[in-house]
Amino acid sequence: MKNNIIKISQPYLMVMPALILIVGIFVGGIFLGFIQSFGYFPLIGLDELTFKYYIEVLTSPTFLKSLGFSLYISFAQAFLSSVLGIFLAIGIVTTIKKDSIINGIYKIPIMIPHTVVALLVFIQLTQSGWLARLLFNFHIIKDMSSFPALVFDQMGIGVVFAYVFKGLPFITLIVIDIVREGYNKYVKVASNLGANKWQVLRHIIFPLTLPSALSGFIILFAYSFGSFEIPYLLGSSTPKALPVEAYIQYNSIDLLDRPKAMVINMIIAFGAFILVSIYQKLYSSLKVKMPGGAL
Amino acid sequence: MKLLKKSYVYFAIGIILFFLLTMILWSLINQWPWPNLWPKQFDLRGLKFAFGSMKSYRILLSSIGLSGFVTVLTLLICYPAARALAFYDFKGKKLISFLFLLPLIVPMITVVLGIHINFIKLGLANNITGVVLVHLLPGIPYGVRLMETSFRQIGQSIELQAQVLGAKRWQVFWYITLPLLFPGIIMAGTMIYIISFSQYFITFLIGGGKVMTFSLFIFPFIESGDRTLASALSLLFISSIYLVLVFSNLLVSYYSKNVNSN
Amino acid sequence: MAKIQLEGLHKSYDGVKILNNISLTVEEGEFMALLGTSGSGKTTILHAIAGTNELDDGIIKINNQEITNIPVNKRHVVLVDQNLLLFPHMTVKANIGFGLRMQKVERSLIKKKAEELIDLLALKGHENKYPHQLSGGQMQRVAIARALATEPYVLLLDEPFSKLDISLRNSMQKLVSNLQKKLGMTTILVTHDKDEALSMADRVAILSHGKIIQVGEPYDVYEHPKSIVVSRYFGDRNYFDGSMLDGKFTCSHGVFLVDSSKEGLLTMIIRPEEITISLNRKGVLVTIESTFYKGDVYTYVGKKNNNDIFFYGREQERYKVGDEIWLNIPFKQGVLVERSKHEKNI
Repeated sequence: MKNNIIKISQPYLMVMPALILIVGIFVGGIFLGFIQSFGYFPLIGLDELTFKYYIEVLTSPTFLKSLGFSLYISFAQAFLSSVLGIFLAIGIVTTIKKDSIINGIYKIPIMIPHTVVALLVFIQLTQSGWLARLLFNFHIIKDMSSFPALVFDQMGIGVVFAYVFKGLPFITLIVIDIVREGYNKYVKVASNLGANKWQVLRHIIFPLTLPSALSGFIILFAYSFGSFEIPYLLGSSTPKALPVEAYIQYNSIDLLDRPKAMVINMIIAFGAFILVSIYQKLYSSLKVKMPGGAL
Repeated sequence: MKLLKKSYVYFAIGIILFFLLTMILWSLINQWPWPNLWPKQFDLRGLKFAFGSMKSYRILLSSIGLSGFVTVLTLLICYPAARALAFYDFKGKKLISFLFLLPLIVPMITVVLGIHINFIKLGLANNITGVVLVHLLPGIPYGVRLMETSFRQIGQSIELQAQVLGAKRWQVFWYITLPLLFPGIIMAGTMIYIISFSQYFITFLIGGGKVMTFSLFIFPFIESGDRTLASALSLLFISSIYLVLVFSNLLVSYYSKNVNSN
Repeated sequence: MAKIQLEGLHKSYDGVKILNNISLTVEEGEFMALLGTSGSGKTTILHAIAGTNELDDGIIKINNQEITNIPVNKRHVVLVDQNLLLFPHMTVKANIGFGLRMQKVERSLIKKKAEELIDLLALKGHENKYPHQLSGGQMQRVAIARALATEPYVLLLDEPFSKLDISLRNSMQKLVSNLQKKLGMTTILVTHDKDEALSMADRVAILSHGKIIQVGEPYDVYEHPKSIVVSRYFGDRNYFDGSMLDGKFTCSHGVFLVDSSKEGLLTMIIRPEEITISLNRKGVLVTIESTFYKGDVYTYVGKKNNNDIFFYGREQERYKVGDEIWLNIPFKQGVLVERSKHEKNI
């Protein structure tokens, strides 16, 4: 029987180190942020739980603008990355040889850190950037200031561009093998059954890539929704993306602002959770229809 | 249609290369005044600062050391977990494998802002221990997932076969499991390394400026818009990551030249 | 080389009995086949002997010594899995030498042994190849050589030929059969292929639902099945329900004198090849219902009172569907068994 106990506990012992880290620090961090968001902050004498900070944050126009901005940026970049990324995969599979160097080049942005991507975008898109110079030299704009602000702008174009720069190849990477398999395996059958090129895309390639592309979309969305570097380096001063806003509140001289930072944090985490649960519903319903595809 | 697709591919590739090229140019100049499309004067100031100064190398090396250490530790922690998820059935397995994916879902900023004050109290803030601890987290989903997939691919029966042929436990591990898992370990390790190497915010907050990594070093130059120094440092940054990738690819392809496990 | 005894093996998965009181003795140097459908428990027995899964109850002995608690790697029992499980990152030579290497045998001895087996299994010229560079038959031979290298007490074969095509399968069966006799290796083969079991083994044990329902020499189990379940395993046969009293068997075709002292409600089994076509209009009259050409013989299904009777015919006596013919059915030589509880026979 002693033998049996060892056997049953073995898998638990094996997952324990990783589990301790995840539960102790990761889940712990979320939980500590959670109680702080309700105003539990003994260090500065706050130990009563209250909805005050939630009400304060949720009714603040600055916050609502930030929330809208973050949602917009995350959605726009994840959507553009996914759609364009699938098309890039299709383009590469159908027109580029498998041993071509292009198969390596498209992956480069994936390994470039976000901070450096911000620099790359900055160099190109500021009003003194390369694009502005090109337009000036072709007499399309008269001077620097007539070039539209694409960085630090209210529309977040620079921010979205930077995320797409990294996200598009990521999507291409995760769908390209599926697209290739689709073309190798099923397209001949489909064309044999009389499908034209568009129908092949519509009925074979898109459905095949959908589960993976959806996973990619969610990963990109969730990442950018809580990421600090790019909106901090390329974003406007108002509205600010939520993580930037959270950090500023956290760093405020007035320690009473800290619970507000935690409220914003909780909203970021909550948003991510909702997103993933929607995804799980979608994914499992997709999976019923067609097996295969992976997170 | 084909032409359209082809020009789209070349356009995308062109943008990537052009962005990198402009960055390289910026790292090489002294002056590039508006509205010139080509730099006016080349200068090695930037490259000297990035590639020629002890400070930059020292930070790069300590950063590589930190991320390397984090990588090894993450792999060691994820190895048994991945094995348990691949080969055992146990109560709560679903919940546990969901928890391991959590760092892909909830942003690290939420976690570190929430735990920062407790790290300070526990003496884990503003030092390397705390930084290593938080760096372990984002790699866990990749470590567990990638190795779990590898474990499933090799399967347990081949280990049993080795045992049947008389191999002891450590012999099974050393002669069978480890070599067969090798590509998976390298891929997971590369991923974990790059993720750790690129972290900015969590190192900044938990390290409190006391722990310097290359990501932290480079940040103010990008923030202040010093394109020449920022570009030169970025070049070094990207090159070091690229070398790691080349190395890991070499390892895997050297291995799979001899082995085709299918 | 050794004698193996299984005593009262029990094993359940999720409440389903996989092994139900299995007892069996395999003599030294004997080739035993475990024959059964998938799910009959035959593979579970092999894994229990190898130690790769645990029993709920029961004792396994090798040379009269209990091995139930000896760890897998110390049992000296080697299993050749149907998936072969060659180590993909090792050459043929390294695969064959693996077991000896693990026991820290001297290098020169390993080399000698490996060369011997490479010769024996006709693998010369492939020593330095990796498994993915080999053909199916070569991989099979490597797996067997690897198993033999450690000179196990017992060789366990788990459907090792099921994934090969027919001609390769036949030649591998011959090779292994000869090898087994030459080395006098105690061997247990698990298979669902009756021809494989009958042609290779010294004795055959037939399994059904976790129980051994008959053990015997191939001729014996084929000719004298103890039950309908065993009989059904060997293909289409004729089953006549009837009753025995005072040495007389009574069924719907009449009353026949039988050389048996059994009594009661019984079923008589008669193989199709025992039935002959009667040219002098005697015996049982049937109408041909369908015919199948099988190359060497024609198989006919005749109908009588809504019951099917299987029999064979040769080229010169071809009949069409609808023809009426007389059959000699040798009720005198039939095998009498208990009636099946679930199935109705003729």
